[in-house]
Amino acid sequence: MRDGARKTWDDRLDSWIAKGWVNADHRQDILDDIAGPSKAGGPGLLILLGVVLLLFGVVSMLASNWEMIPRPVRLIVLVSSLGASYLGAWVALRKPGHEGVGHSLMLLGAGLFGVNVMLIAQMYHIDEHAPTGVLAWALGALAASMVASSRPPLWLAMGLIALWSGWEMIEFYGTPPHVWFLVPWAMALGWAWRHDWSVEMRGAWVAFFVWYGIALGAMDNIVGWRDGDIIAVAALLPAALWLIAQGLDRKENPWAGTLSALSLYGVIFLPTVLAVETLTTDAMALWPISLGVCVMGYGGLLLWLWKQGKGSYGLLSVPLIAMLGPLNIAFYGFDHAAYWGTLGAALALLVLLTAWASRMGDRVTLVAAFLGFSGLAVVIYMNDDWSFLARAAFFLIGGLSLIAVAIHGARRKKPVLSAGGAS
Amino acid sequence: MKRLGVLLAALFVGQLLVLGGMIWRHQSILIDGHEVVLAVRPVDPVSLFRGNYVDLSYSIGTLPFALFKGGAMPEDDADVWVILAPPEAGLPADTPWLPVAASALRPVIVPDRTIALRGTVQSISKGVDATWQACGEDCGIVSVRYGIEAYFASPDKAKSYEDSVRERRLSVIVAVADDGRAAIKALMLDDEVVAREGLL
Repeated sequence: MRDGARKTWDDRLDSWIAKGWVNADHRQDILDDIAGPSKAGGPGLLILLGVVLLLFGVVSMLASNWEMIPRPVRLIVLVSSLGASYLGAWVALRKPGHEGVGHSLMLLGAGLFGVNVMLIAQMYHIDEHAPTGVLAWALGALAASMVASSRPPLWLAMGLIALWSGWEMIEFYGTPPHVWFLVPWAMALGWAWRHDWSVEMRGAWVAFFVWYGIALGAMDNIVGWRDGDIIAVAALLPAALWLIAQGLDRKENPWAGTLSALSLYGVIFLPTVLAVETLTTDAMALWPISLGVCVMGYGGLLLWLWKQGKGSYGLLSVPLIAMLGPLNIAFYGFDHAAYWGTLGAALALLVLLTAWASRMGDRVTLVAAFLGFSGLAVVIYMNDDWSFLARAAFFLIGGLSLIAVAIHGARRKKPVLSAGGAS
Repeated sequence: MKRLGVLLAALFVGQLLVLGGMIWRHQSILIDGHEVVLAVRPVDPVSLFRGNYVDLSYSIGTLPFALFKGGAMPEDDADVWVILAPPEAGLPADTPWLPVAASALRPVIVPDRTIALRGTVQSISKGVDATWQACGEDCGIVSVRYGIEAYFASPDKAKSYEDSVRERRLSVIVAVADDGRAAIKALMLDDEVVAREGLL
């Protein structure tokens, strides 16, 4: 629950208790109920991860342009799947206890809408302005989120909005910043705000700062900044905001939560920027220094937060894992063992982090780990050592396996719970 | 819950309309558009979402300033109109149509047997010709894209078509709508159609 909302409920409950409407003994129970289940994850999370892999599988299958299936048949299958996803979501969302499946199907539908857009663009060899297709996909995903008050399509929409604007700025836009980004981004943030979806609000801020980073990255073409100056600005702003947020009283100041969310950018984006920077210039030899500084800095912060016993400190391990991404890219093409080693290590760390966050009920870390997982899927998707068809097989088998494990786990759990309830 | 069902159905129908609109926008050109044949030049790319494609860099992608004589000069990112004339009668079917005039403004009258094709200016380079040789103050080239520069195919086919482009054996039949929008209708290898496009 957002800090402001928490304070509102605190005040209301105090007032209701004073009026005798509510028994003071149940104050905490009511607050816990409003905040939702403390345990995150479970089978719903596995299904969601499975759906992410399935979507990558379908996109890879589309990109492989597999001629065994004629294009009209592909279109019919994909449009039918789009309808079936929404129908399945409707059925699942009506059944208590199946909301996780329903929202996963909403994500699948929102993803399939984009795959249909890409298929039609492929069928007609449309080469007019590629980012517009991504914007259409983002708006479709946002609409899916709004129709069913579903969070996963909103994540997809935010990622696509950032991709759309980044693509515009890097490939087409002469003078960044590409301010049109702010329109769909504000819609996504507003929707998250309206529902008090704090994790998604933070995600929106991360998307904002990714955009900010790309816009800043292009500043060297406009004002002649050196790369080092840009990184310094990119790094210092969120660090300063984070420090300010720590100094504010969250109950007294409604901006404290927002400022704290802004610091997410620094946590996730800074080490990646530093690592990528040192790998893309002739200062390649410097990367161990950047890596060392990041590991020490974030390690210290992690220790401090852990000792304080507050915040989503598991989140801070995400950038350390994220740094394996640029390293992985650096090894790509010339050291196969190191390439697959870094990819495997990042995957294993993310699975461990997911399990830990799920156990601790730490939703913010869980979402960060989920995003990291999706990021890894992107890395594998972009690896052209495999044919698109091989990547499609990998993702489809992986996705279906995860969903099968989740369903099997849920079925095994059910009788145990029933038996416990009966006794 | 009934409301959710209605909203989800509306979402599905809305998204179908978007997809249908995309199909109609391009299928209608293939059905009603006028056919022209264009020559292409070689390049081995992969699209992020749509896979391998053949980069069709057209000869009419660079227009000399001389073509704009009598017509308005375009600006960066603006629309540009190119008048294409068919080859002489009796020449092989894969003989490309050639540009005879260009303008930043939509032509009011299009001469008989010619077609007006709409593109978007990518850049304007002064003092160089189409082969990037220096050519004096008054000459230059306008680089134009027509939205038909990518042909998506399976990796094997894409490679085979690219080889044909390098050997200058591949040409493209393009359908052009009355408003100047274009869509790839078929690929020709020498003077034989090897791939025809459309929904069915």
